[in-house]
Amino acid sequence: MEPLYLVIVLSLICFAISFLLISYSIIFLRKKGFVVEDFHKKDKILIPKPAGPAIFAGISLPLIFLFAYTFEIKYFAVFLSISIIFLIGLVDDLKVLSGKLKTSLTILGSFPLLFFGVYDSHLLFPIFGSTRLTIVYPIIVLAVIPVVANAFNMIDVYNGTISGSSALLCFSQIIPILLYGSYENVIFPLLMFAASFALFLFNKYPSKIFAGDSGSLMLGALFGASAIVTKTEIPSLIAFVPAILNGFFILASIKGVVEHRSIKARPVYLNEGGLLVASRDKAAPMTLARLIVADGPMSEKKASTRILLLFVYSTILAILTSLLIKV
Amino acid sequence: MKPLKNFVYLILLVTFSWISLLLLTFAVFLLIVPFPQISNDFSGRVVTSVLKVLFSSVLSLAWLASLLLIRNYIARISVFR
Repeated sequence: MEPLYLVIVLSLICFAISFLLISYSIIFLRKKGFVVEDFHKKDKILIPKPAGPAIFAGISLPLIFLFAYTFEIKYFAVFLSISIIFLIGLVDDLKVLSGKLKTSLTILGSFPLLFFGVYDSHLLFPIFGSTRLTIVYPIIVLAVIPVVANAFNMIDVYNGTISGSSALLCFSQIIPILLYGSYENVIFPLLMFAASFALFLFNKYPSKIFAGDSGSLMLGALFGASAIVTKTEIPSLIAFVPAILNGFFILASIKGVVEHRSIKARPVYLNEGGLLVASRDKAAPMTLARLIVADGPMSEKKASTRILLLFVYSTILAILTSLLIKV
Repeated sequence: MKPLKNFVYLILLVTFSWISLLLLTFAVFLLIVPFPQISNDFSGRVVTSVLKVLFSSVLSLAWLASLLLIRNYIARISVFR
């Protein structure tokens, strides 16, 4: 069992590496021309993308160190899982993949968790306690990485939503682990928090860098893998409800899996004053981003804060749920 | 009566999802999955598995349909008002 101070030191190292590499990435990506238009700004400014490689390095190095230090396979399995998803995201950042291909490829991220068997087929439920799912649980593991990674990718809608929600969601795992889990497992959500918070400092409104698919898919894969390894599936699922709703509403609107760049009718547009307005076009997907701004024209900062408030609320519900879990 | 802010509806939607998701997982994993086999022979095991998948799918689809109905209601009173 790793000492608590090591877990904290590694999380701080993760934050420092992510912070420094993101700072460097902003200069490097801008110099090399890896920039995209920020659609929700009136003056159409260009923002560097992706920050994925920087946060991947920040998370991977502590995981590799822990595997070398403890020889515990769970660190290697999670590292391998997020590496596969990161590479898929990076390819998508450099050369746009079709929606169906990208979604299908993300299933590969589940294989290390299944192959190394770093899961326990007992699911911990609130009030009722534990139930064994010998046959069903591996199927759940297979589905978790692609579903969570792609749902994470879909909430990257406004400045700061992906990094802020990712940092908030970590508490739905950290607190249950401290309540009923094995405390050395807290390293997984802590590393995710450290990297997400470092990204949030640069990605919050007005963004200086975008996470890109490599960043958003990888953070999603880490959240899913961490929920399985740390046995916090139900609290994680509850905290993730706004992202599940968003993903489901998009799929229900467009009736299938397509690359978001191929959707012609935009759910949200900018008015002359530079404020976000929900489109009244029936062909546009009914996303969370669109429902959030339906109260009337609002600034991107306000819309982003409202999405983060939904995640604060769902994370509180997740913590309440974890208080009801009997071990 | 003054309509509620859309954000309040979204908070209520998340609350509904929380309660219904817990009820759904209880129903699927604690009632349907551990349900005993109809009989111990091969056909009995297959029929039991098919029925479990069927009941779980019906419940999950009903849950998703309820979320869509609420979303459509929120969209009707806010986006398309």
